[in-house]
Amino acid sequence: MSDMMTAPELEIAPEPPPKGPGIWMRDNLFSTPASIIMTILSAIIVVLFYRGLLGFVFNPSGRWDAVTFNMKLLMVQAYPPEELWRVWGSVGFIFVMAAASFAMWRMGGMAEPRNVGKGLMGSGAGIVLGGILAPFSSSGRLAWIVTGIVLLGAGWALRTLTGERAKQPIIPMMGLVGIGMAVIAAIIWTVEIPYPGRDADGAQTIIQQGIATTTTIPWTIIFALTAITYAIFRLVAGKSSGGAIRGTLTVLWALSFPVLLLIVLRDPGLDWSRAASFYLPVFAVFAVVGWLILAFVSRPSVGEFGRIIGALLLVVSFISFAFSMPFAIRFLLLFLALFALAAPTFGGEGAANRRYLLGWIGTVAVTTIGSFIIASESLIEVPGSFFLGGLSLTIVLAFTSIVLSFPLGIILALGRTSTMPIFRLLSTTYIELVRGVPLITWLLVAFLMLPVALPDGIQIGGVMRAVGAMTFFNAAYLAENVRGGLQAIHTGQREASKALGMSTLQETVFITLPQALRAVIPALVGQVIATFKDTSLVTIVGLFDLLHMARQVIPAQSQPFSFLGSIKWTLVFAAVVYWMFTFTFSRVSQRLEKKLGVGER
Amino acid sequence: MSENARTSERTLGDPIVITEGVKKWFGDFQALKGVTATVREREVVVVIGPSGSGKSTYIRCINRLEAHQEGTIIVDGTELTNDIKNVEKIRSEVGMVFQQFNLFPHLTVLDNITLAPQWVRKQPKAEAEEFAMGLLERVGIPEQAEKYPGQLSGGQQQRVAIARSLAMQPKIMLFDEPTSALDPEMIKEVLDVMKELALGGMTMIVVTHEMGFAREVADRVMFFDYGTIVEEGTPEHFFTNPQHDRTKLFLSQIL
Repeated sequence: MSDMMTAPELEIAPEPPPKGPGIWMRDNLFSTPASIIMTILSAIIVVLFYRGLLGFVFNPSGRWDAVTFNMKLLMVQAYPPEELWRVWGSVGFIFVMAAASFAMWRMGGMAEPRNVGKGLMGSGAGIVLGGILAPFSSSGRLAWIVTGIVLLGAGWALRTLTGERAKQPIIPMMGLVGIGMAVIAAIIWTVEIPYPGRDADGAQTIIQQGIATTTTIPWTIIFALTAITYAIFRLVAGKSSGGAIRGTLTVLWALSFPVLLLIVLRDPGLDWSRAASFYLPVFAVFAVVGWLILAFVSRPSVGEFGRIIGALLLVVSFISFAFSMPFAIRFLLLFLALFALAAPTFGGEGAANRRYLLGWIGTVAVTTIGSFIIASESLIEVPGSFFLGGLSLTIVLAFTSIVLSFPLGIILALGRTSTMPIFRLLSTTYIELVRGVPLITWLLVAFLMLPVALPDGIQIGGVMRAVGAMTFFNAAYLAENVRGGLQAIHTGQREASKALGMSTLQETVFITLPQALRAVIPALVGQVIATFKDTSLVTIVGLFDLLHMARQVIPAQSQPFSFLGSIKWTLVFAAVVYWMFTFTFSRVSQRLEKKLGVGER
Repeated sequence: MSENARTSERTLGDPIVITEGVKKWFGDFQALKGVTATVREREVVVVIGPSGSGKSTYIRCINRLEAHQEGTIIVDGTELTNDIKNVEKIRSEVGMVFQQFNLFPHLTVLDNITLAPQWVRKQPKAEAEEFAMGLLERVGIPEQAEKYPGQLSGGQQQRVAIARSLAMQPKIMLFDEPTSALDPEMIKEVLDVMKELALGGMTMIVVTHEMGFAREVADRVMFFDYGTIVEEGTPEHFFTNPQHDRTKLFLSQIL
């Protein structure tokens, strides 16, 4: 309010007395006899574990050459080497998009020198300790200890030299990320890593050599592009066109996964005569006829009759699934029915209706183009049925099933909380049935029983079957998470939206669902992480995902080099890769929670 | 204060809310035992009574947040039945302000106000926002438009809730204990907005414990107890010369 009175001046809270490390240790580690014993015991366990770990990682007879030599196999399986630019381009695109988004949304923030210093000192101490514990040669030991001491000193200098400003957030986090990328780039150009080789007698041995330029050059270019993109967009971020750029980035993110997977990586052989003779007419017919139907049913004067038309279209679309026809037509019928049913809610007169009808045209375009691309054969020539394998297959399985299971899970959750008994019954039955059986069983069902059950002439590839099984399985779990969020919403929210005259659909879309999803972000991310890890189960039905490569393919190789018995090292590598992804997810979700929590404090 | 916001400055119009013999049960408990009352256009009716007397249930029946089981309720010429289309139409013409505000916490103040006009009334966004800013001006907090409800004080939230209801340009406003969840120093700012609304000729049914508001603004006071209207009349009659023993007892306890 404007007539605010001036408040009495606030006193600044007194600084707590400075505590040295000695006092801190006395207070926190050695305060009682019991805590002294616990501290010493934990320290011994940590040191022993660290020593064991370093001993395993740096053991000169360790078979890390199985990982380095087979890196391409682990990442993309048999993708043709001359087509690898497609993979690098996709990775680079994601990095550049991330850099642009971080700049435009001003993510990252600022760090305090004392915290950065603390981090440097901690890692320095860890490296010194490692140098002392690990089974290194004396020169290696010396290098580690020196590096550790340099880091310790740098951290200490940062803490003391910044003085009073040590507690102010003045170090840009993105700058630290940039330094990190530069360090990684320097390391990959200089470091020597184990590769398999042959000694003078022709016997297999492990040799140390630099990383191949086919790896270092792409990464260096990607890092450089990322840094440049960040700098450019950081300059643009403050300008008035920021909103439009952010909108464009959001659309690009939404399109990136299907476009990269289906067009860039899969390289479909597009048959343009088929497009002209079939897909273009289909697009035109559905766009025009759909436009006319929707323009009619969204008129307020049509009223209930519009809903009857929508319901009839839905019946027609369900019937279409019983007949053999191109799947583009089936999905277009289904979408037309859904649009018609939602028309009274989201359409209307004027601008809202124009937006709604344009949304329909966009849906038809995406569906026909998508079907055209998916129906085309891939030009990437690989042995086996699918063009990706290893980590890339793991990512495809995880992301596709996560993206597809979200809408299904939300619909199931709404069905289970619905007031209509038939929806409740169907959803509850589905959820309890699907959740009650292990995923591995559903995978086996999809691979062994589905081919028998499908009508003649319909074939579904192995990867699609795995995606299907995982999607239907995840949807059941997601539904339960979302239901928890829906039930946590205060009844007052529903009453307020009803009192404003909103229909149940509007209330769900605008009020309850956004709040429910926000409330269960931690559970949803937990599910995403579980799904990512659960992709490793497809190894049981013979798909060549990351774990399958690490567990069965590489340790069984004998030509041109033998990697028999290397499973310990390949499994550890796979574990680290899985961890890097899931740890990123959990960090992103923490950020998301913080960001979305703004209004609810 | 000598300012009188009552009938002297407003002329009452035709009956707009007609309830006849309205009965409502929650399980075996009978909340309303046959309530018959008529509210006319531009009339301000204050409903008072002890807790559990059915006064909140009564106004929640008027926009069918609760369905009555017997009797008839006619709002603006339309009888309330199970027909959901009718109910939605009536709800869009009857604004309601709740004790707990019930603002949408995930939307900004401006979006809270413009959501229903845009999607229920199908107003263009720009038009809805302009109208919403006018309403925020009217309730005295235009500078809070971009904030989230959680960042506002209780009094400010309740004023946003009033603006949100007004954005639908309702013919009738229902207030369900609008100041009961507020700190004492915030009650006045909300009552002032309501008073201004009454002066502007809005038809209002207000459940409240604010006797000062009833005295000053109401055309009529209804006293509810055990699910029926025990006594009703002008504030003068009601506060100075109550007829019924239960009314006298209630007034002696709260005044």
